[in-house]
Amino acid sequence: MTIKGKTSLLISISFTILFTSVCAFIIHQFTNFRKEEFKERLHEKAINYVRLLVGVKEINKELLRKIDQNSINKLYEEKTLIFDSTFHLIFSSLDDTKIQWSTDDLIYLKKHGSFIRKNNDTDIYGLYYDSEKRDFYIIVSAKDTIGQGILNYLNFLIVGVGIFFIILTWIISFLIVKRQIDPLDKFTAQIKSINNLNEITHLSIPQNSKNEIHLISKEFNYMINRISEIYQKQKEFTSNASHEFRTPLARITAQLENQINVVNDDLKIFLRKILIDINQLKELIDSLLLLSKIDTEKTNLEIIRIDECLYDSIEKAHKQYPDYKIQFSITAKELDVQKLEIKSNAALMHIALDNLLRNAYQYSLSKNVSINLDEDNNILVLSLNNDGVLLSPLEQKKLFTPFMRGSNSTNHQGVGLGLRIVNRILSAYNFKLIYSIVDNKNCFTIIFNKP
Amino acid sequence: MNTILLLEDDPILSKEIKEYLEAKSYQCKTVYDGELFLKIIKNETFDLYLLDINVPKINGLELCKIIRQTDSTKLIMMLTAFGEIDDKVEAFNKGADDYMVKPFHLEELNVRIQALFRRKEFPQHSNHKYIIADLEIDYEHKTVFRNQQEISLTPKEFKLLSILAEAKGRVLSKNQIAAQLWDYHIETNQNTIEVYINFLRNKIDKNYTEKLIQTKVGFGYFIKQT
Repeated sequence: MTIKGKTSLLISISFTILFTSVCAFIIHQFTNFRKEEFKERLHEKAINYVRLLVGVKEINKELLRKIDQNSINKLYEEKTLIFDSTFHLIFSSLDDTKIQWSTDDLIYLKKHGSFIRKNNDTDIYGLYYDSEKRDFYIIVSAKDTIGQGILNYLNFLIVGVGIFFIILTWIISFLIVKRQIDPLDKFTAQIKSINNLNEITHLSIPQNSKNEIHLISKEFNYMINRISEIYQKQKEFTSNASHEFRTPLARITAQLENQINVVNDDLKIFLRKILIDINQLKELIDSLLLLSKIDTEKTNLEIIRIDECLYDSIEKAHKQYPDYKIQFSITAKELDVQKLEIKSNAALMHIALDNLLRNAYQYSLSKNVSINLDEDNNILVLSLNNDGVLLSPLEQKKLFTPFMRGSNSTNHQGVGLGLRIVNRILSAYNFKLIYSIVDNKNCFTIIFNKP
Repeated sequence: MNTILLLEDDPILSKEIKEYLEAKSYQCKTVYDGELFLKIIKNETFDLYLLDINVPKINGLELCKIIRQTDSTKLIMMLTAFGEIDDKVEAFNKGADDYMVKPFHLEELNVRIQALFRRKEFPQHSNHKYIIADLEIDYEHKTVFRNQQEISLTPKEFKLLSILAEAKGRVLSKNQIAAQLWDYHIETNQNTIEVYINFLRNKIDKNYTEKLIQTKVGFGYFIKQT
């Protein structure tokens, strides 16, 4: 996850947790407050009933019921039960409401003095009244419609407002973080655009900016300058090394070739062997220089026709090996010109195909190579088959390892860099080189994946 | 006897090349730096210049440019250790006729020199054109026009069109086309010819009412003569 996403998420989650906790605390406190306040009211009711029963001599059950019926302070669905000390119901208010109670409740009251509990949305309050003359157990139940209504409204308000503010917080935090991190995005985009060290691009920095990202950009520009200098020096070294190696080799070759015509036959054979070794050394130098250049050359892209590229390489291979026999075929029935076009560097692609064709010839027993162009799911596939000695599974694994020479390379010239170079070039363009054994033949397949 | 002026700062290599070329009946003179080279060519004429690039005072590429400012026919071959494609392109752009990367075989040098002289002696007179209806094939510039609009063809497509054009309306079988298109060392399947004929049709005929590339079912292809 990006820093931008992570920061926004952390801020949003923190705020959500904080806001939810505050909301939960408020709701909890108000619920308790409502419960206590209603309990007080039920307590007053219970006390009033008992005081009337105990304190007023003229009162009886009927009178008490009438008072109860006509009370202006009557609560919603209020119901009162009064028991004497032997748990006999001595008074029950006149209504249809039923109170869920049991003798255990009265025993509990005797022990603890009072209780409050909720049955559905009805609050039930119990009280043990211990007077000098008689003891009473009072159970009062009622619905706190006003308190519950306020509580419901408060819940709705807090939850609604909470959700709204949480969403707002998420949006605002994402926008703020995005705005803050924007220069970093630009910084990343600029770095991404620097893909060619031959054309150094510096990151643009506003003057006198103390923004941390701009400071990093400044340091980055210093770094890119240093890398560029090193890179240029490396390129110069490659070029100079090329010259320095090649001139002495040219000198040796020229001297040997001039001597070959004037020496006796034994010496002639010896000098020819040296010339073969020099040729191998030349190939090694060429390969090493090429390997060091692939990364810089690969960015010079152009649209090339792979078939034409292949024909050039075939011509070149045939000039080098006049006994080279090639069976070339296109198997795709309806092939568009566009499908043969690939985005790559022509010089590098020629080198890759030259190497593959040379390899196919050198390791073929009959000097016969079949080449096929086909398409598979709109992807161009080029395969080269030869009848050389097959590679073992272990050799297949190490096929693209530098300086690896398989058991089939005995009596073959080479330095073990050819396939490495081919693979490096192809993978630079996301193309794939695969070795397989098809019909008891070595098969090298290039899959030209679309970019 | 053809005369050659060799610019090479390595005395041993210079001596060996001179010896070899003289043995091959060329008259060869050697020079070690760019300034001296310019002085010599002011007073003497040579048929071919062999130029190393990295030489003292004036480098080979600059000399190539200087020579081409006054003489566009003189043969110039670069002999250099710089083997990168950019170096070759620069040399050809400055007027070089050929380019050899060190180390090279003296025999190959000789063959290339012979080829250069041959080309100069017998220049190819391939400036003829083939015109049929509104199709024009320019063999010298390797360009094709239809209704005065240039059509871009790859070398293989151009060769295929030329083969059909040179048959002058005669039907060519796929095998006959394949034999000429890929020379003797490549065998190919019939589908490959069909694919290339299709490419050519899309470029030559697709946007025109008159279709020039015709098929004679069971026999082959031909260009309709008007």
